[in-house]
Amino acid sequence: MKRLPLVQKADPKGRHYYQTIAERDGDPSVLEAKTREFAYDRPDEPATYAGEGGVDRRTFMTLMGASMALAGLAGCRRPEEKIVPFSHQPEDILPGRPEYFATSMPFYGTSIGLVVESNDGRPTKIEGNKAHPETPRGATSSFIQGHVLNLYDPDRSKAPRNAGQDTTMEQAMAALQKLSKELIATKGKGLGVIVTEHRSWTTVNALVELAASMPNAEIRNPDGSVVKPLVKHDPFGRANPRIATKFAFNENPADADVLETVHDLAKASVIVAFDSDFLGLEGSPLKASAGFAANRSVEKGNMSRFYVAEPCPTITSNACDHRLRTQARRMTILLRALAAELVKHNVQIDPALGAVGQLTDTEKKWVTAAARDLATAKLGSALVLVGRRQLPAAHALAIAINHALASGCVVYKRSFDHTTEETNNSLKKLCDAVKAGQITTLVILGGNPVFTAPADLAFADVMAKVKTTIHLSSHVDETSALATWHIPRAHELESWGDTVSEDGTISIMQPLISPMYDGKTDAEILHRLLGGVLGAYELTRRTIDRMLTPVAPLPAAISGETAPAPAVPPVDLDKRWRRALFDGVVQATPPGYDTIPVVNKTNILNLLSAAPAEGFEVVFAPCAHAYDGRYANNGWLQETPHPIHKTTWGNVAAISSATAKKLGVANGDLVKVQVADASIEIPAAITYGHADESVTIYVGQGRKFAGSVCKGVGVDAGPIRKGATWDIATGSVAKSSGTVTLAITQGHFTMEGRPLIREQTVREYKEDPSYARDLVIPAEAKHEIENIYGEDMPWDYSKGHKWGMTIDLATCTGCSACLTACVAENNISVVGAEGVHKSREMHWIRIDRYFAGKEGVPTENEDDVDAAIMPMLCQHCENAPCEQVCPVAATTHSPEGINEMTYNRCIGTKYCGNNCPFKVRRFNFFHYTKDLPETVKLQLNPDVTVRSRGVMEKCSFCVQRVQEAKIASKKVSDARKDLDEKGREKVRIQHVREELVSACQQACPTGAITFGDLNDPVSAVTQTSAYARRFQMLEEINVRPRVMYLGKIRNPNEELEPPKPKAEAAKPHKTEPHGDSHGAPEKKQ
Amino acid sequence: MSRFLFPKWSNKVIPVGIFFGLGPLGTAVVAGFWYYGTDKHFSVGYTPKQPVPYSHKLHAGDMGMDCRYCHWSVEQGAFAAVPPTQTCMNCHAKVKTDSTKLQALRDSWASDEPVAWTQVHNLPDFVYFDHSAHLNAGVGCESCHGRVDQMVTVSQVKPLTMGWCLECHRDPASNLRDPKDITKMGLLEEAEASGKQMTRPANVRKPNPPTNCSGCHR
Repeated sequence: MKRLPLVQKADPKGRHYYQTIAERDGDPSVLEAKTREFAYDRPDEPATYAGEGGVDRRTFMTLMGASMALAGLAGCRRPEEKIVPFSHQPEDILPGRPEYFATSMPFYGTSIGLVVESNDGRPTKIEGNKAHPETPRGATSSFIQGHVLNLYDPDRSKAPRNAGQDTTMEQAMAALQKLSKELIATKGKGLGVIVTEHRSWTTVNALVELAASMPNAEIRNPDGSVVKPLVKHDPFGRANPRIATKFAFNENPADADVLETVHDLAKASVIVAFDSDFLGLEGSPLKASAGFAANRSVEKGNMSRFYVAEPCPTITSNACDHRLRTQARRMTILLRALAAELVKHNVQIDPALGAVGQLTDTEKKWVTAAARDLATAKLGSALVLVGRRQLPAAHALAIAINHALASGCVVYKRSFDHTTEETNNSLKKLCDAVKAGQITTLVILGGNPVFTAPADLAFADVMAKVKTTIHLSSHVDETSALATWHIPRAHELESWGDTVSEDGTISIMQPLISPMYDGKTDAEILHRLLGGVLGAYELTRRTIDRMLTPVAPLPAAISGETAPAPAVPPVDLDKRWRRALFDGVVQATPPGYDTIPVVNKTNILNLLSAAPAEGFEVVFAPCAHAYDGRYANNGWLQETPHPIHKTTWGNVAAISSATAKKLGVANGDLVKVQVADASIEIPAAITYGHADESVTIYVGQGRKFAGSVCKGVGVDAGPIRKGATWDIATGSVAKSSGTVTLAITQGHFTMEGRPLIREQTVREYKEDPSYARDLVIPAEAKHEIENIYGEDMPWDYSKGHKWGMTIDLATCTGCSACLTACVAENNISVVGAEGVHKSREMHWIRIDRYFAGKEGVPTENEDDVDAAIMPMLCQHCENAPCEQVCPVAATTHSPEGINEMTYNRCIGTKYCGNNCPFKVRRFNFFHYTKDLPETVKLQLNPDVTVRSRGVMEKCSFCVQRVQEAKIASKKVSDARKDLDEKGREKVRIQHVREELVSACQQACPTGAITFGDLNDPVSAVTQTSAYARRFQMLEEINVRPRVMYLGKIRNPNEELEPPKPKAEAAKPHKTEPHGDSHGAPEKKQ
Repeated sequence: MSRFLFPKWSNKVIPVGIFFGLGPLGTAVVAGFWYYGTDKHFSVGYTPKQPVPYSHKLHAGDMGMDCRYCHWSVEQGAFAAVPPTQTCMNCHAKVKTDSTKLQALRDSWASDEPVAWTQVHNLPDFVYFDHSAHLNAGVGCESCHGRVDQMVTVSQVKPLTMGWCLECHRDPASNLRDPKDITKMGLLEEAEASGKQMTRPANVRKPNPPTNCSGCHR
């Protein structure tokens, strides 16, 4: 077929979108390579992927002969299958129908409410709990979606270990009991405890009791001070903002309580974020994303303005209006300059806090504009955010600024947990105490400090010095390998517990499956150390019952067996408990309170007195595939492309294009990153938009633990991450020898530079709301494809359901939660790093990341780019090109408009993939599911076919959910009654509207994805698809997609980005607004 | 004596023999497999031996128990539940307590090990059949399972092939009945004998069964 002319620059505004620099510059070899569907014929790589090579002709004939003979015999007789019912049937179980349970897990330093789907007793899919404040609309993130796979990780520890030998849980518990007796006898002499960010009242209660009943457990510091040896270690914790509250609000910070900073983005109309990835990997990103999106609607007329200053692009800055790329360590300088500017605007902030530092022109403009917007924002709606890796000084300054702005978007809540210290300094004190011989028993509950603790503490050596170390851990990891005792830790989906969110909401953690390997929880181990014998359920129940008992005091020390029955008026605690379990949220007044902030200027000035560091900076960030390492052995997350770099299976050092040129480094070249005397070698990723003189290192990969997934993946950044320079260090980068082939998806399946992203500013939108809809490629590129079903469709789309989806590019941040949710829902295979390198990734959604040059001039600074994100999935074209070329009719159209893929018919010609203009079809080159470990098979969704080798697959609009909702809607009434004007039953339409969500829609934290029935006048998708900025892809070829996009809208400050003269809205590119191409979709319906 | 020579026509014996002999034979074999090697002939009549010699004829036919007493989830879920041992023991804790045929059942009850029944009606894994959707539309048990009330050991009576499914999906009228009579046996045979359709109240929704792929394949 004739190729359509390549249209590169159809956007009349002169913004030019590209995925790679080679593409921007029109490198012919890149453009040629794009015309190929798959990159599997790349000559430059060896065929080493499992399944390729290695089978010679003779082996092949033997195998084929044997299987033919077997097939011949087996084909004659049907396989005999068994139906195994229960012997004693439990209540409420209906075979084949999933059940849903509310539970929770600690993550991001808060609690995440979950609703987990269980199929025949197997947890298969995690969703957010709508009733929980941290997961509005039931949103989730990639990590939370991937958490269910951690449950089935075949490398989980299956038995306790003593001195490197497997043993039994009975022996481990007996040893624990013996140890407990010794500790009780000596009142805890020599005991030390390290916990993770557990967020659990039950654990806190146990620690309080431990501190009270074991007074001899203490660390005597060389300076004479005495502290409790209870330490919290979280590699990406919230220590900095918490410590800042001590200084900002108190005369004497040493005695002060820690406060939690809780943001409410839904109230913010001007947001200025300093090195804060609050929509991505820190704070409460799901709550923040929902709040942010709520204030980002041009239709509602409440577009917020959003400034970001940061070194490395993040999900957060993908969504911003003005991004300032600058070193992370300059944030304090910028904040002081902002404070100084705010003083000029008569904001009641102490002038001493402001300081006009040495700013570049760009920085000065950015700060001035941000200050004006903050000062003139509606009262209470201005918000300054500071990222967790900034030192307490920056956080304290932000507190002062927010206070002066009377920001209603931030409250400070009393923290529930005062039992442990969480700074690196407190961990260092513990290690020093070990070296001084003060600690003889070290209990590590969760976490993996040997891998994550600051390098200068040499934690592995510290472990060796302690007589008895007990490590509770899900895997026999780096720490467990060195511990005297390793005890399996129960996964969140198999344990009883409770979690507290940052605002104090209490949720119950309930098991969906009994512990697969008899794991224990933190609270259980602590309780046993105290001599108790209760299980996790009893402990949790005791905590929650206290919460639910109206007059009982707040949980303080709950002493072992002698806990007095609370004297309360008769309350049906069982009933309340069951209610709380069902809701997932305990309806009780959370302990803690909102404080009335009184800012202490002197303390903040003292904090600010430290001179900022100079030189090349090394910044540490959690890896989007592994977080701090806990998800490193998770195939889904390793293969989910990094939202910024689009790398999979590994971590990189992100540097700006200018820095890379200076160093002579290309993508994938190994660089040596040096901090003080330590260095690592890590592949570089050129990151357009990164700050110069700065490198971002992703931490969490390069595990020494030999998991079947994480073995040999990535580089351990631990050696250069030290206690004093924990998040931002000074160092150097130099080119090293060697190059690594990055499994990177940027540029895979691209669509030949067609103008797909459509973007406007708020002003432009007001002038021409339907710009995105009307922008169609020049007339010479117009092309009408024939409909395979002829002009008259065999069905009438105006009747019955008509499925459609809209994706709002204005609120999509590219976080990739939808992608991972789709993997979890649709049994999508993991193909491995080499598979990804050959463009064989199976994801049904890909998140296209485009760069947008500021002026569209190819010679401009490559680093001065904006991001534009576009999720791309099967567009469910009404005129689908793929359907026309399938020789066996394996891909067909449903009367409701779903482009269906029937795997059992597919013979794998791949014609459909070649003919798909959106490149969203994925081919199973191998039988990826054949060798799935037995435990991982338990995760598979029984409602979706597990695909085999040789078939195509693609987005199905979650057809299993569609069918389920339709069937269920027919059961709500069996007769036709109460019809609407189109003759449809109202009760059924309503049922579908309320019950049907696609997996991606459900996961989306900003609610950018809307899916539903376009024939239902009340459905959300009908509303959004009527927006003026709705557009469809490749309208000019008349494929009539059912997936519609809402044009990207930015709200720039015109001080920084003057509006373009109207004349530039180049008319020639615009076809008549209601010409053939645009009008076509409506005409046929 | 002259040597015997095959006459010239004998040169044609082999090719003609192949053409008229082996050709039709081969065609017959292929056609035979093509026609008789299908589920219609291989699956229909499949009557596996069950671990407990349970008689549907006795229970559902002679004693008139409703199908849903045991297959209780059939109206709510995709699967028609095979009853747990508990359901059997509701009666057999008191009835026929010493029958040797029920030994497997009593063992299961005592040991809490389920009885592993052999599946009779087996669809491929890529077919997503939903019992509840069919029952709520008014398709009776006997349309697919036949006269189970007359079977001592259950056997498959319909081919359960895609073509067979589609016959009804394209024109379901002859299999639709009053949803209240969903488990009643014999109505279909009566209707077929009389040449009329089964009675069905007018206000019951007329189903619109899918004939597109994703109706059953996901």
